[in-house]
Amino acid sequence: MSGESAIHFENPRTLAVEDRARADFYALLANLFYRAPDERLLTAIVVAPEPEGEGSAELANAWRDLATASRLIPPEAIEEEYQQVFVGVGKPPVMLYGSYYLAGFMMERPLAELRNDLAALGFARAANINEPEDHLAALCDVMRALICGDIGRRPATIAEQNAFFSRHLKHWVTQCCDATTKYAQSNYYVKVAAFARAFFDIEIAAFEMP
Amino acid sequence: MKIKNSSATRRNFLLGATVGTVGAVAAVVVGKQATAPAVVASGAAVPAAKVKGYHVTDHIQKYYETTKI
Repeated sequence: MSGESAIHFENPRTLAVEDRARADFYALLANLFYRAPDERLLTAIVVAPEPEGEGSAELANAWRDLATASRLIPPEAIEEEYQQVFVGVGKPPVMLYGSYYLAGFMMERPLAELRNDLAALGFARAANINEPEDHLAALCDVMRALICGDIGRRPATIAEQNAFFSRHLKHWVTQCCDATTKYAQSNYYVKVAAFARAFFDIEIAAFEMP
Repeated sequence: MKIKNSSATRRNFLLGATVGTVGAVAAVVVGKQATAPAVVASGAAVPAAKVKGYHVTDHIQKYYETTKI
């Protein structure tokens, strides 16, 4: 038995193909925004099959650009860039926290509302994590968990996913992607943010469908 | 037992737009989650602190340089 297959707690038979794909995107974005990708993840991006992309040229193009950047830019440079763009000295040049975009400051009321919603959904911050819950990576991880379900948790309905997405991601996530793209020191993360933006545009449009 | 979650319109839209892109990468990513990334979750999937404790990066080093008299 491999350790990797044991990670998939959800029953794959109950998950539609497109929802599996969405969960995969969220998992990848959670990783890329939480920390700079290591060599293993970069290689996986490079060798992934070309997207078919007939439905969204933006997403397909963004993916190809990300794959190219993952092949050309050394991991150490990406690590340094992550520190410069998202950590910085004092205030990070690009904020990855929802509160900042929604309320103008970190740790504001939107974070309190998010904590209430997470508690109601049965989520909690892992003990070894110091980041506030409104970090983009955390919210992507929650979306992934909602879509997939987990031990003792059925996959969330589209309405439930939409409720969480609309309250906690929809109104700032594209702004955050654009801020990353525009920041002068961004290089690899221009490609990550463009890819994220293309994906979130699709999510926003899909949630608006009847 | 299929969960009837999405409308046909939504499904078709998502099938055309998203399917077939990152599945192979996600295998690596999700496989990593036992030891690496995600930030919040129900305890099953989850992380390790980004950078454990303080460490000097080049960026911090540059800042130190600026503080020298």
